[in-house]
Amino acid sequence: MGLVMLFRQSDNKNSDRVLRKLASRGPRLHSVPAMLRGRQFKGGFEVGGSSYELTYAPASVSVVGRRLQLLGRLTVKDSRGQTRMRERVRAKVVGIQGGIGAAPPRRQEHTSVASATPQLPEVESTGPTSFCGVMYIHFEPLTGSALGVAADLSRVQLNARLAPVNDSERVLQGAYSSIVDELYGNKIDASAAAVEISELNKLLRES
Amino acid sequence: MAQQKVYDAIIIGSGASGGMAAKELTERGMEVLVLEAGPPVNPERDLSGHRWPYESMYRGFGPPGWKDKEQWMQATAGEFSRHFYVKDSENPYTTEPGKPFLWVRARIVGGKTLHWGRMSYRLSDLDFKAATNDGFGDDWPVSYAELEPYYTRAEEFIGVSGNRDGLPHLPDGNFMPPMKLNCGEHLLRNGAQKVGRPGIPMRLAMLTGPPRPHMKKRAKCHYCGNCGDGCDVGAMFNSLSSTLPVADATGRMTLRPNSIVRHIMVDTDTGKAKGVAFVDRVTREEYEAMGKIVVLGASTLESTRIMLNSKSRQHPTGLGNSSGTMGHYLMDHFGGIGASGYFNVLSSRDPVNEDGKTSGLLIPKFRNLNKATKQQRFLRGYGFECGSGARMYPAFAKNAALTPGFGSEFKQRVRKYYTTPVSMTTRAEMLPRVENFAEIDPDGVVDAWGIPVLKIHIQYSDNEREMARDAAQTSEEILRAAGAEVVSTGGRMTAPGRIIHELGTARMGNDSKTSVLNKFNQSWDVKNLFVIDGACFVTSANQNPTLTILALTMRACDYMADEYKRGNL
Repeated sequence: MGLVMLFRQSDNKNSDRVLRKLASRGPRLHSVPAMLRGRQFKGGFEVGGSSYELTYAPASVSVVGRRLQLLGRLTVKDSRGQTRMRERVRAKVVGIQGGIGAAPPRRQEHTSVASATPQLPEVESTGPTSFCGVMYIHFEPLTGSALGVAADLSRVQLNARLAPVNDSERVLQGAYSSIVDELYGNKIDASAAAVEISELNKLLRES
Repeated sequence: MAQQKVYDAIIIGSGASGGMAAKELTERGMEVLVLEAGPPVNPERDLSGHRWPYESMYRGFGPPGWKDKEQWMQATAGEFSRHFYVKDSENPYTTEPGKPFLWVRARIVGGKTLHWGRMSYRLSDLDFKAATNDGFGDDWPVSYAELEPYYTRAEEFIGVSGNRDGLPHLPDGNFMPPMKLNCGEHLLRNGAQKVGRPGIPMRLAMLTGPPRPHMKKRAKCHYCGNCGDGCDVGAMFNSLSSTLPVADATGRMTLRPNSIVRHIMVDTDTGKAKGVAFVDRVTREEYEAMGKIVVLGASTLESTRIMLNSKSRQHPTGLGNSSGTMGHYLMDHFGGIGASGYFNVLSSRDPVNEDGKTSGLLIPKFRNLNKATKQQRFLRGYGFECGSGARMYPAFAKNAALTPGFGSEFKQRVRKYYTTPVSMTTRAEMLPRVENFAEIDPDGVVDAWGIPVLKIHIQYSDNEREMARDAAQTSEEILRAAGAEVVSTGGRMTAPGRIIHELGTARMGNDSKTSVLNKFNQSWDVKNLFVIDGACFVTSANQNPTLTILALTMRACDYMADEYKRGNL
């Protein structure tokens, strides 16, 4: 079988001639997808026709303006293997995406539980089984040339996916999830967050 | 550059609604530009319905870790269909802690019609007049009588298989023959009947009879069973097989893939939409296209995202949002609750090929249909999607709860029960509530092209949870009445979004102060802006929504073309 008699697109590039093409503002990097590996976020990006690897290794975390701020080393490696590094790069977690699936272990029961009548059926990955699946992190403005990237890096977002593959990553995901619960929900619990921050800093020092 | 062209209409999206709008408008003589955010489809390369798992070293599961790395929310994507779906790593959205939303998105020519579930049911006035019936929320601005001719037209065009069952809350159409029930489904239907719940063959947008004359390049379903990996014979309705070829044949459609819309442009003098600004997904070059009408069919939440990102002096909170309701009343259906087990009477029979039939038994909603079925603990209703029969290994054997044991014990159990599994899962209505909403992320999260993303706030109320409790009980009751060995009951409700029936956020209505669109899917504020996808829904009902989206799109296009000819847009 396999008749393949379906619609197929003609080459409509000619149609672009009747569209208005705007002047280019030069290459700009908007976001970098990365995954938590160990205590580092590792990812890669392509911009201006070149590809790069990026590693961000938070060394410590704190709360600034009710948002989680990370401080750590940023490393960019180009396709020729040349590596450039910047220490003490600040990055702020500006948003999160709730995860679906198996929840990581938590140090203590978290409080961000959707209000619900007990004894009714539970909803997957909510309340006590909820966790953070992605953190969206904005770096402080970066200078492309200092990192060997010929692009505007003034506002780069790290899409930091938490998908642990070992126990230490699971513990880190649990710690990040707990902090997110305390700081990014409708009810902010600064004192509980402070305890979790202290614990996360300990984990970052240990790993 | 040639002189910038002004299209009669720019249609954003090429899925169910966008494809249908392209067909309808071009057939009425209008010249349209269809902007699709994703890549084009090459059928030979991209449709894999006839690939066997053993043709891949990953057996259809894909390389280890690929989902976690790129497509963690694309729950229905498999190794052979992953290119139909977005990469979450490039297309973020945010949620609140503890309230996840599973957003499955297709960005490709044809959109989600390439892998949809094909179930096609009409709504009735029980749904359109739900508020009148039970006092919650708002009625739709259209009645069943108004939409009935369009349901008929939509069914005739796409081809729907089913049985004329005579259920007033699930109106019949002019169907192609239904896919037959298998032994287990007959047993289950008999059991359901014993406890007063009628069961019917699922109604599917699949050609089970000879293609009708207008279905020029489509073939009858040959029961290969892999619809979700792409149907390359056009037996299932999708944009590629059905609507886009018709639009293309008129010579009046220009389709531009890889076109990600940033915002809709507004004429500052008239306040009307004048075109669309978009970025090329691959080259990242920026373009503007001009049109006399803008039609949004980008999918429920993407259409709303585009409107919310289209702020201007005249529309400071988003294009067409003078009511302040845009983004609100987000709904999905829920599932996850049900029961499963075995029909031991079917044990050890000779297995036959039952998994080519991608159909099953539907137990339509049976609560709150009338005074006799009125419930005290919850409003609205739910039904069950049910299936039985032998499926390609590992099928049910993947579920450790159904097949405990190891080694020879495990093998014997698989052989014994291979032909016997039966399962029921809920499809239930979620109430439209203002506190379930999507907004542009207030903290500046963007996608890979720098376009602001949505923050989604949604959770079930106790109404849905009470319904789920009832569904758990009734599913077990039905399964036992059918004589099954019940292995598991209850379950967890699916996270919002998982059923991929996200609806609402730019609802229709009779009052411009409480709705975004009028009864013809036309923006109250911007008369040449139309929203034709699931964003327009007022309630979710519990029926699968695509057929209603198609019928509403046909109706909106009739109105649009007439008004355009009259110079009213």
